[in-house]
Amino acid sequence: MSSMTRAGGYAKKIGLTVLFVGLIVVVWAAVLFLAGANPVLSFVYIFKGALVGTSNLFSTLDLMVPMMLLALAVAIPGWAGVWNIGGEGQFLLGALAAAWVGISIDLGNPFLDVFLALFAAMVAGLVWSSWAGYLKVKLQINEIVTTLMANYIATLLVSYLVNYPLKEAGSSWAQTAYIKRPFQLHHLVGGSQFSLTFFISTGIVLVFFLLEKRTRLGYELTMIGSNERLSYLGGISIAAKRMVAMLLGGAVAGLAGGLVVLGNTYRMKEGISPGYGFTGLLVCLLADNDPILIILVSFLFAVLQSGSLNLQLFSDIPVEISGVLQVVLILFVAAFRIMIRKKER
Amino acid sequence: MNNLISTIYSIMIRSSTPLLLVALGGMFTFHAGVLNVAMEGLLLISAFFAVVFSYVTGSALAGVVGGIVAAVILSLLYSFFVTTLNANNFAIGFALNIFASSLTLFLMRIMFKGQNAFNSPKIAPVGKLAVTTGIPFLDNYVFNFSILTYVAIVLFFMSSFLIYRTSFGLRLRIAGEKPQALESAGIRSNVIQFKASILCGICCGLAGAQLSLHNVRMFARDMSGGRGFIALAIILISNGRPMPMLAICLLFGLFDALSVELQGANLPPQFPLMVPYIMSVLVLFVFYAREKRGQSKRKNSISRV
Amino acid sequence: MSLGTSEGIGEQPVLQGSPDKVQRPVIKLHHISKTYPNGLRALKDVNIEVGKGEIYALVGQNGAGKSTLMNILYGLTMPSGGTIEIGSRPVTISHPMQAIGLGIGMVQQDLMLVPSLTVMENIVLGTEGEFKRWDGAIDMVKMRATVQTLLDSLECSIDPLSIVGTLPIGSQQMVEIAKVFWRNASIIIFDEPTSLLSPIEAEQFLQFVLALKAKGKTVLFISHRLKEVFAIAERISVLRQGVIVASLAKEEANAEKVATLMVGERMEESSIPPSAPGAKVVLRVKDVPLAANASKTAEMEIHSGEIVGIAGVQGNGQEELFDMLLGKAIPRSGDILFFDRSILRMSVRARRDAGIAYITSDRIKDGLAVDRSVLENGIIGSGKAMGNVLIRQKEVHRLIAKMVRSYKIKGGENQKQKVRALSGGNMQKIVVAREVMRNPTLLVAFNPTSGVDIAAKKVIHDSLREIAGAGNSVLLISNDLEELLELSGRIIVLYKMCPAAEFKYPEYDMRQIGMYMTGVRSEGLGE
Repeated sequence: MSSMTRAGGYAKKIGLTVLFVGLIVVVWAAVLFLAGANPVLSFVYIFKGALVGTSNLFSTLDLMVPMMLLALAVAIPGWAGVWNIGGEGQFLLGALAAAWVGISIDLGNPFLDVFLALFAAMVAGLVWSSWAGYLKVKLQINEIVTTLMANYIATLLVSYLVNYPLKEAGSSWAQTAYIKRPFQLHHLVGGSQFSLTFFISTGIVLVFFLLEKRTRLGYELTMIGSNERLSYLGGISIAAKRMVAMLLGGAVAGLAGGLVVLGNTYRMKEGISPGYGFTGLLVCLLADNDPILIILVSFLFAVLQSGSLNLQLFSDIPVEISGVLQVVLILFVAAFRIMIRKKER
Repeated sequence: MNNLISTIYSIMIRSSTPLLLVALGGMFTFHAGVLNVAMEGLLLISAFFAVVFSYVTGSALAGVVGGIVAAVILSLLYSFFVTTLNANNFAIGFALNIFASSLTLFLMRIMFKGQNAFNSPKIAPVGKLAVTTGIPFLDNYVFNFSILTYVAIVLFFMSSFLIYRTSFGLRLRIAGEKPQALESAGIRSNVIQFKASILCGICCGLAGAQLSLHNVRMFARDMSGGRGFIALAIILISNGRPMPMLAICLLFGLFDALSVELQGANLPPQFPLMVPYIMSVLVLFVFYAREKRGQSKRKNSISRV
Repeated sequence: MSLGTSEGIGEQPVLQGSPDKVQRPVIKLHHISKTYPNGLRALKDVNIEVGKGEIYALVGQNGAGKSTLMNILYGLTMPSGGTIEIGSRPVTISHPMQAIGLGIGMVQQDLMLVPSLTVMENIVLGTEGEFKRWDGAIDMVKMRATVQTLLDSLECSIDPLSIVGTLPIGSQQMVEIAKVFWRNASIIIFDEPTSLLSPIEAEQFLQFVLALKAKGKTVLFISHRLKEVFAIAERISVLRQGVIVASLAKEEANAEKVATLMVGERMEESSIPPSAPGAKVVLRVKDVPLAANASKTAEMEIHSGEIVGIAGVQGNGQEELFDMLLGKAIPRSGDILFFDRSILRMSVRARRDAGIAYITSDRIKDGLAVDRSVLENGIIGSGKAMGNVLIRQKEVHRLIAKMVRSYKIKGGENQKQKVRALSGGNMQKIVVAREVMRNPTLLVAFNPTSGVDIAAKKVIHDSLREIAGAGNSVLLISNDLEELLELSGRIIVLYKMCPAAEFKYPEYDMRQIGMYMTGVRSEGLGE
């Protein structure tokens, strides 16, 4: 391919992307308009609410934490062609495990304490994804159904635990006691819950970015997802690698739960997750299983979500508009990607 | 004891109705090779709009129609992306599920200032079949159910008829099994898949109306409760065959009924609620484990990719 | 779909026999040519005339263009040039439905049947509207009766209600044929009709075709089994590399002549003689039946330093042999020994670790991950060499760079380039390079140059020779006879799932080879 056509190809790609972004903005404006708001003002409110002012900005960043990790939890098995929709359940169990450790154990050293709690969170998440993974690789049971069912079971299980045995003594809310002080991660910026969790989660995403690109495991997972037959003939053990991917996905989702408990709520409670698992899934769909894109898309979604809170304050638009805008974006991107691919053929 | 059995029986029938309807809808798409993963979303969105239309017009019929229309529109969207554009089955299905969840919540807050549920005496419910024969057994156990239950039964027979005895059904099954055979006979499988999606939308629309206008009389956030996915599991296990599907739907209805009863007992409510989901996994496990031992040729058309 | 021959048409052969000059031709193909978008010329200036009620045979090797020509006639593909006349009327056939409308029916090699449905449902597919009852259902009784009448007229004893998937292949083919009759075809095309049949079923099939002629139907059939062709055909046309090289009436032809025409004359001797085989036996196939209906088991030995070629028309056991060597299929009896060790129980990975490498016949399906990069495709299967936990970046890059250089893989200079952007030939080079550069003790290659341009072909051939030169072995299964003749020290011809003959370099007698490939001389391997 000559450099002329390559440059021309790039220009076309950029042009298309710009056109596409413009289209998205128009569609979003339309949705906002239909909801009864002034689109331009709405964008301004969202922007301001998400990014203007340190407390706003850092709250937005803090919102990214569970999103990124839960998107990663879908992405890692996604590399190998397996769908992990159980992020929500794995998150909850991870959160519970971290809270339990935080309430019952104290090793004396805050680093060790936090490490132990997060480790417990990862193990809980990993265990929860393991049986769905096992059923998939051994019996070819569709992992979408099993991981989804797992979500419901986990939600109920956690609800039970938090309402009965682990309930905070004397409280009328469905929550546990606060975790002990050494476990509580300080809020670093006034007015927001931003803490170490942001760096930990971003670090994990980057670790997996490297894993995907530079390790044998990452390589084999992506090859399995790309051409299963070829991978088999090339000597890659498909069942084992897929299982590993599911375990890693569960662990990451569990970790997200632990981070939210240690950094935001300082306890486990019913309703701790406003659907993080599914937002994570949306992020992953948009980011096409790519870790760096996950960070970028999480930022975008966090802006939408955080900004919608502000939007709700200043207009009559409920905060759920962000969910609608997110899905509209996904559908358009999906259509867009397909059309690009058709042009390339 | 008699009372217990009759309560369980009636809850069972009431619970199986939406499941059966969703499964019937999904059955069409299963046979056509475009298994609809967004049925959860269709169910939810139809439940919402059924309530809306019923509330606004005061007529249950309008509610049912509204629910159907909403579900059909969503399933057309699904079909557009998956059949026409050839996008990934699951990705679009999930996106639409989440869309339905967000949208219904959003609309509920805008339209009704509701928080997590919307309830109003102005919602016209779907009534029971108003037939009295004078024979107590029949009156209590056969004719005592929601109109939509009977619609479901009729649909069940019609669907079986449609799929196995008509030309449309024949082509439907071939579209899922060997589309090339259709193409070489000059028939476009795309059109067939579209029609299957619409039928799915209609069935899910009815199911949603049953949920929000009969079983309860309100709309609650995410009230579909995973039924769309349980129906998915049911379809996979029964391989799309109507009779086994009916049996398993009733079975799940029974689980639901048992879980409701257990909630009255001295158990924390979460455990009985878990029953349907655990049972789904167990049933899948038993079925697939047996399949593996039998090694029979199983149609696995959950994925077009 | 690979057309086993290289791009471009070679020599311009002299047309032998009397060109078709039929009194009342029902089919006339004038100057038909077909060039694919990637430049591959499948057909060039083909002229055929078929008379009404004639049995017309089209013979040729894989990739000669026979299927392409019939696909054009049936509307599955459009010609790049030329005209078609049916019954003296010029027509354009752009879809099978149009062909059916003209009375043309085709029984393809891959049966278009739906296994879970009944015979009658398969036959009437598309026309069920005729049986609609008042309530919308299909009148099964009426359908059964009508189909039964049809089957009776074909003297076929299949029950219309039996499930197609449960029928033996011969019966399934009969159902496919019945489909053609259901649409009232007067011209029937058969593409390799006996390839799936047992000898008895094949015999019955030939009788059936004669009966068709008696009913006034015109039959066109593609086959490479000359015994059958000569049993029933009245005219025979030989296609070679997209060109008709002969059009003979039955009286003018004999099997030997046709077989030779199919494979052509060797133009020049191989410039490089194959290396001499060493003493060690690397691979031994012992008493292995390639398929259930094989009349003989396969027995072969490969020595170190040898290139052994497996020749034959596709469908005669090559796929089965490859699958067994790969480990995808297990023979029901016999053994396969690699250095005196049985590999039957070994997984693909274990076989690779033991030193066997594989080039599959379909690079898109299982040779490459086309949406991944050159680098990623180049290192697959290299096991520990790429590193255990971390990928050894430097080594891997160096390896791929070497690969790209030695094999002149255009487009591979940017190792991150997605493989799908490369041309077919360059894609195939990656597959070959990857396997060859691991220095395998035995390379099993299945159609390694399918859909590959001449330059790439040469590069691949050179690398195969290198393997043998280094004392290792190559088992080369190929549709491309030229290639086999170029490279092999020995050639084994497969016919009907058994080895039919073995030839040693330099005694490659084209006539003989052709005759064995077409079953004219079905003898066992000389002992």
